[in-house]
Amino acid sequence: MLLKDKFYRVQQENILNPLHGVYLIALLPDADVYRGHFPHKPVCPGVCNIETIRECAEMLTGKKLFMKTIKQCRLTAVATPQVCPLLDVDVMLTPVQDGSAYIIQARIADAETTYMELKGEFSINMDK
Amino acid sequence: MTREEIIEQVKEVLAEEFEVEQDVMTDDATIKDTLELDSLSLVDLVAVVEHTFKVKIPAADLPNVKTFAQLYDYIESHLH
Amino acid sequence: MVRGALAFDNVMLYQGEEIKKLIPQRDPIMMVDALVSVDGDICKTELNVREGNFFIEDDLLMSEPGLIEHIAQSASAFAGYRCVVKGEPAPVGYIGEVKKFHCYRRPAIGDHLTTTITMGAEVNGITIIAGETTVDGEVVADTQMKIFTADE
Repeated sequence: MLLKDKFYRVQQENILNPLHGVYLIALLPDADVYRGHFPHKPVCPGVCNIETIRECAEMLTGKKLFMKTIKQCRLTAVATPQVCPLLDVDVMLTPVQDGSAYIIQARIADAETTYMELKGEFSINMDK
Repeated sequence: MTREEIIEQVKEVLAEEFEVEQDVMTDDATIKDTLELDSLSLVDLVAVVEHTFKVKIPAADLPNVKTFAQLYDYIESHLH
Repeated sequence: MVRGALAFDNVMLYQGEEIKKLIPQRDPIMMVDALVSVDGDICKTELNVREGNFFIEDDLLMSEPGLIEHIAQSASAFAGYRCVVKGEPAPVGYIGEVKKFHCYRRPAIGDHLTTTITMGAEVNGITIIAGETTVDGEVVADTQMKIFTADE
């Protein structure tokens, strides 16, 4: 995986059912990406949080998932390893009828703040 | 374009963009509440109107466009 | 004429070190190589996908968020360009929303991405943009995005 153990570390997995999991992650303040985003001002790139959601969905399903569509992804607050060292990544999946993809609804938040909400469709087979 | 055509088109594109039923968009309903607009989706509203009617609504004019009837008025009076 | 930029009518070129004047991102997450042209509300940018790119996965293809970042930085370069030609510093923009993103194919190392950005409506510091990325004329991704601009 691109970011697991490089940008974040999973502290705790809470699998509510095979299609719904909440991953408690710790953001790693020494992650290489902060050298460039931004120099002297570390801010989590929104796209890294999107990638983190995908990786949590892959951990939940045990499958490689292709990000076919993001219907809507809102970045509702600026996340940094200082502001939110620990985050919950809540991933809920609904299989589409032919079984080739999942509708995903995900949220990244801590006790006080929601940082990201995402709705989309991730397919299991990249060709579909 | 007649006012009826404007109303019909506004309802059609807004229903599609904001996933609401057309009949909730009554003339006196407030746009913000009906479409559950916040600062981000307000930009969608402005962009959809601009794209559909080539009518730009500057931020300064937005306080005067509260209800759907006011939106139709605005589009009608700014259409080229 | 902008210093350090080549200008041919409406064709401007910022590349290499020059692109750093337009965007605040730096290595390892710089995802635009060049601002190729600007025409009204439309600009074109480019990126060569090289080995070692931050978003290249184990299967040697780019992860989809890499495309989103490339489109966001392309819009950021466009906004930066508009400020720089007026003699103002380039703004820092944050992605506020990604909407209707589609990925049709993940780019591979060696692919040359060409992206078209269309600037749309702006309300209270939030700008809506549309982006489309192609490789050899084939659309690999498209999206809408909203960017918050911070005054810094």
